[in-house]
Amino acid sequence: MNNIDSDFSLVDLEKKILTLCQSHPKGLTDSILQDEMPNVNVEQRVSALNRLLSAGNLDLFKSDSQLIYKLKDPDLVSKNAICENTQEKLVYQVIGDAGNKGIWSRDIRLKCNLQMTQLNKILRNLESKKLIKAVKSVTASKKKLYMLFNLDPDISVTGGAWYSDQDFESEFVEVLNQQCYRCLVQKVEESLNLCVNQPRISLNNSFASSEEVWKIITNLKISKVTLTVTDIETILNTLIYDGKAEMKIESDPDGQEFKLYRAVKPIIDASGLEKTPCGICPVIDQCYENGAISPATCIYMKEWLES
Amino acid sequence: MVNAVGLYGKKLVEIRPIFPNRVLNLLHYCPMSDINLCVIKLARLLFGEVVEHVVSCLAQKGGAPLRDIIQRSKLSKDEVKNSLCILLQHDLIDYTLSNTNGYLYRLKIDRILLCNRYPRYIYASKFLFGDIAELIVEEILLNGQIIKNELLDQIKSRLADIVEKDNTPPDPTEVDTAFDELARNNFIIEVGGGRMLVKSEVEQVDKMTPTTNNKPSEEVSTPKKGNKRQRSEDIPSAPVSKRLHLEEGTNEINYMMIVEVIGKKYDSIAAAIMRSMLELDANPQESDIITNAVRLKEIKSHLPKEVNVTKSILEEYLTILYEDKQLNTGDPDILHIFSEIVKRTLECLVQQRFGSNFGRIFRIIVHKKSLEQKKICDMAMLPSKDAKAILYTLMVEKFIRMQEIPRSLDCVASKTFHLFSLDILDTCTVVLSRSYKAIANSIIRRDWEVNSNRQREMRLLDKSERLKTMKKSVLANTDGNVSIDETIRELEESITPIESQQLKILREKFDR
Repeated sequence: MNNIDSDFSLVDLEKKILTLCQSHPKGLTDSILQDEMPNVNVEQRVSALNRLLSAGNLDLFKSDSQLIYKLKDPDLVSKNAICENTQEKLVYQVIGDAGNKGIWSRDIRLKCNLQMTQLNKILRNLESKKLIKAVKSVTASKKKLYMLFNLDPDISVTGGAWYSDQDFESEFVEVLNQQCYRCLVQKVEESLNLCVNQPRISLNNSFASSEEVWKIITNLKISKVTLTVTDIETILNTLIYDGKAEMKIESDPDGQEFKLYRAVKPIIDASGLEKTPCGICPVIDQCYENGAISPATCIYMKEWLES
Repeated sequence: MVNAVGLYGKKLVEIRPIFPNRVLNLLHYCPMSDINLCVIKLARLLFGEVVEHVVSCLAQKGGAPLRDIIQRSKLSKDEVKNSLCILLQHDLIDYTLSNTNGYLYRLKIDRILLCNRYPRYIYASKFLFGDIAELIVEEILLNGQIIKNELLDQIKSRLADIVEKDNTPPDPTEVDTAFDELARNNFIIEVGGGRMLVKSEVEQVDKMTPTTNNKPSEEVSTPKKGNKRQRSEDIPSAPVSKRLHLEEGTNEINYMMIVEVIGKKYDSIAAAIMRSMLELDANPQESDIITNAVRLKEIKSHLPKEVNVTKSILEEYLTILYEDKQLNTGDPDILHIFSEIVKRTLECLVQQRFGSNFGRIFRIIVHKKSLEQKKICDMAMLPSKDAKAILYTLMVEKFIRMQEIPRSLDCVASKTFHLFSLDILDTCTVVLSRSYKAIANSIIRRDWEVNSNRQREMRLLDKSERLKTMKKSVLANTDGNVSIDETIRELEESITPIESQQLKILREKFDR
């Protein structure tokens, strides 16, 4: 009878601890527990906490030399329950901790201290139960990252709008680059036609904000994925690095800064050097008069002179 | 470049000229082998094979006395002396008194390399002062230095030749005007002495033997720019000769480049305003860092007639130039605009040599100074594999460099930052050195083409002579043979139509 009573009180105690955890999302310390349950002795409290921890209802953290008990995600708890053994649970937890950035199998092995074959088996099991999924990263296509099944991979893993199935969509980027350039050129032409004999107004009007370009590109509907203004700015930056555009930053009366872009023509047409075969010759360092490679017998020069 | 000073109503514009001593001489960083090769080949191109040998000796030794040059070049004494005379006349060498070897002749490498710019000096003079000025500059460059009267006579006779062809009456006063214009704008300077003096210098140096107190037996004065008074005191009867002021010419070429760049970026009006501002700063003193400020009114009145702008529009243009942070035209230091032009030229060069993707990555490094590989790949929006290949190709070609910054003491590669960066000076040196080699290679190829053409012509002439003799011998041994016409026809057919055309040109050349 006494045993039943103690069991009952222990279950009660566990429930009380769980309720307390819910009311303290930042976690419970031993002192809080002691204050909230002054009638419960240390032994009872310890055994109740141990039961909750082994059942996977609580998480134990250490902060400033004191222990903190936090309530576990109920979803995680239910899924933990599906796990066959503690090793599976551990792997599942490690993968869960990695969040939507995922974790490499090698890192899981190091964290769980498991053998590779054993880990592979566990991972296969978890995958078959649809608790976790393997995702390929754009940074390393051969590297499998594991994350919880219900999570969407982070942009650093998928590569964002510019990647499809780990492949960089260079053609898509190129098309966007050309379209953005066309937008900026049109803007320059419009400003030149509208503001005759007003050089400064014409110059200022020839700048287009990234939002303007984003709107035009969105209206063109050339992209299947939804592009953000930041995505368009990334593309506009490639135009700057192509020498086709320039950028200035201005701020509105509220003090918010915005980027303005303008199409520019190259100011240097070509330097004379690359017009000659020697300017682009890959073997110029080995080229000497009367040598095996010699300017007198150079085939590139012959072609150049004949063209 | 353009710096607004004072209140809005009294806007002044400052211009700073290019001072040669402020520009870093990249030649010190280029491999000497490429420079020497270029210098030697330029000497060959301008003055022929004999001078090339002399220049080659001087380039190898750094400086050499007359007897060493004769010994090394295996040329006759007269040939060496004449070569030195030519080089002195063109201001391509100088000489110093050595303690042991008498006079040492040294190449003026910087000056010889400026010979590459002769066409640009000629173009600049034509652009600024007209066709006759172009003729005058051409003639001066051809002679190195020339006495004024001799120069004017030659130009007038050249003009008379042109007039004969075009049937337009000559105007001799135009030559004097053009000459005065060039002199007023500091394009032509007096060097004193004249050509005869140059010859006498070589004679004196040749005769001179070092005395015990290591002083020359006879004082020899070097031709120096702007040393007219001293020269006229020494040799009062010596006629004053003229030389092109290459520093002024170089400044003018640089100014033209700025104007061209402004024209391309904005429009012809902005370019004309920039040109006017540069022209208003006509005689910058090298000792002054800041030139005289120019009033808005002055710029407006100095603008060409075809550029008809109101004061407000002019102000707008000046504000645009002042606010331009891309080209640095708002910076009072003109060297900053040149550094921008240099960067753009390098970007253009990389793009044209390797392709647009290379240009993009090179520009990223130019803009961002120092970046990691991953960051560069992300910014370039190129497939990672391609971007890496581009980066390493640029590094191998010495356009960019990689710096390793270890994060741990054991310098493990996985814990090391690999930063790609650009040193404009290094990249310019690489490009400059390649340019010199390209120039030398072009001259070598040109000579080879000329020689092989000459040999081909000689073979053609031989062939034609042989055919003529054969024809004669056939005709002499006719004896009523019927097939004689056929034999002659066969002989004539052995010369192809192209060959006969070449022969015709050759004969015309010989007749002349």
